[in-house]
Amino acid sequence: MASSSAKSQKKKKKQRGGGGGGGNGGGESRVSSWSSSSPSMSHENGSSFWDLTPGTSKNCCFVTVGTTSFDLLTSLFLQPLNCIYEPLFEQLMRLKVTHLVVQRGRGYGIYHGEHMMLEKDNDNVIYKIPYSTFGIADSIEEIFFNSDIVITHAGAGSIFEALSFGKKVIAVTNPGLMGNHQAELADELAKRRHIVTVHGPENLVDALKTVDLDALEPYVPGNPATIANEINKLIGDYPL
Amino acid sequence: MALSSWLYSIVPRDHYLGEVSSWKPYLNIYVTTLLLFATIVSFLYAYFVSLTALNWPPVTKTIGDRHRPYALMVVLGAGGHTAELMPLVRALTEPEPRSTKPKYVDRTYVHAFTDVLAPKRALAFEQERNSHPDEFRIVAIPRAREVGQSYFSSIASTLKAMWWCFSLLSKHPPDLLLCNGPGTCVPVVMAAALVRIGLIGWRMPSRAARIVYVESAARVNALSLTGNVLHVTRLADRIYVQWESLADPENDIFYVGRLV
Repeated sequence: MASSSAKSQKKKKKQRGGGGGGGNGGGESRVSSWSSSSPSMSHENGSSFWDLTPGTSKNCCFVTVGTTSFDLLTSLFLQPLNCIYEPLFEQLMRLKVTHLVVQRGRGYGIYHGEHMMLEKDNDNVIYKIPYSTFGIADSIEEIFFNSDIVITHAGAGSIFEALSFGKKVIAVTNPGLMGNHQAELADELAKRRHIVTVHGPENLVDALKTVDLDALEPYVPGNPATIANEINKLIGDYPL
Repeated sequence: MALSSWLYSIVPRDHYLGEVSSWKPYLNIYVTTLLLFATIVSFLYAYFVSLTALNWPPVTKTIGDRHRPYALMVVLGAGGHTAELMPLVRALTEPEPRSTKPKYVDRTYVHAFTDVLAPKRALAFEQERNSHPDEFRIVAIPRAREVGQSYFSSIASTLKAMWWCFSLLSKHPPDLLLCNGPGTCVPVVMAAALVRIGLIGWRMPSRAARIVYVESAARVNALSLTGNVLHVTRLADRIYVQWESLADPENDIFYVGRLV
C-alpha cells in the first residue's frame, strides 16, 4: 500500500511539473525508482539498463502495442542482429532518443535479443541506443512514467494512458485491423492537437521527419465523477 | 408430451406413414411454430419496454431509516475497456462517510474466460482499497461469440453464456449493471432484462437491475455494435457516450463528460 501511494504521489508531482520535461535533471532519483519491479530491465551482464553517465540526460522512447499484435510497427524497431533500419534510426537520433523500450504485445516479430545496443557509425561518431523489449507485463505504468516519447498503436487504452502521464504521443494506426476503426479516435485527438497520428507504420519515418512534438497541447483528462453522479441520480438515492 | 401431441394434431394424416421427401407438407408446422414464438417474444419484449419506460420495479431506497447497501455488477472487457471502466467504478465506490450517495458495498466483476488481464486489474483495484474478500468477487463467463464464429452457432453460444449469467445473477443480484462495450456484456444484459421482467428467476431474490451502458471513448462518430444493439432494443436504461459529436439527448444518448 505504502509503495503504491508513494508512486501515485510521484506521478502527481511529475504531472504538475509538466510532462515531457523528464529528460533533464534528477537522473539519479529516477534511476533508483527503476527497481526490480519493472519487467526484466537489466542486461545479461548485470549492469542496469538505465545506467547513465553523470551529466547526461535521459530521453526514453517507449514503443508499445498494448496487448495486441502489431508486428509491422514493432519490427521497424526490432531488427535482427546489426541490421538496423537506418532511416528510423536517424530520426531517433534527431529526436535525441537515448533509450528505447519496445513492447511486442502478442506479436511474433523477429528480434535478436531482449536487450541490445543499436549502433551507428556516423563520421567516426558512434551513436548508441540501448534497447529493451518484452511481450506482455502486468503493469507498464513505470515505463510510461519514465519515458518521454511514446510511440503507440492507436488503441484507445494505450493512447489515453500515455496522455494521462503527460507524454508526447505518436499514434500509429493499423490499417489492416477491422476496417481501420482505430483511426476515428486518433484523428479526433490529432485534430485537437493532443497527439500526432500516423496512418500506417510505413509512414512513420516520413512523419517523424516533420514532427513537432513541442506544438502538442496537453490533454485535460475527463472526470468520471460527473458520470458517477448521473448514475447515482438514476439509482435514485442521491439528492437531485 | 403436450407439445408432441399438439404437433401430431396438426400434422396431415396422410403423412403419418410412408416416406415424405418434401418439406412442403410440414410447412404449416414450421409457420405455426415460428408465429407462436414470434408472438411470445414480441409480447415479452413489449412488456419489458413498457416496464422500463415506467421505471418499474422501483429501486428500494432504504431499509428502516438506513440507506440500503447496493450491489454493483461490472462487465469488464479487454485492455482498453477495463482501463476506462475502472475509474468510473472508483468514482462510484469512493467512500464518503457523510454523503447520502448510494454505497455499492457488494461488487461483482464479470469477465470472459479468455481475458487474463481484466481480473488482475480488478483484483489490484480491490487490494488497493483494502476491501474485505466477502465484499467483492471476480467471475468468468464464456464468450457469446468468438472472433470468426458463424452467426448461427453464435446463437447457441450466446444462450450458453446466458445460462451462466442466470446462475450468476441469482447468486449476486445487482442493483446496477455497468458495461462499456465488449461483446461479453450482451448475454449479461439480456439475462438481467429477463430477470427484471420476472420471466426467469422469479424465485430468486430479484433486484431491479438498472443497466447503464457507457460507450467506449474510442467511438467518436458512431456507436459500436453492442451500443447499437442496446440502444435499438432499449435494453439499457441509460446510454452515455464520451464525445459530444455522438450525443443525441432526444434519442436518449447522453454526453456528460469523459471517463479518461
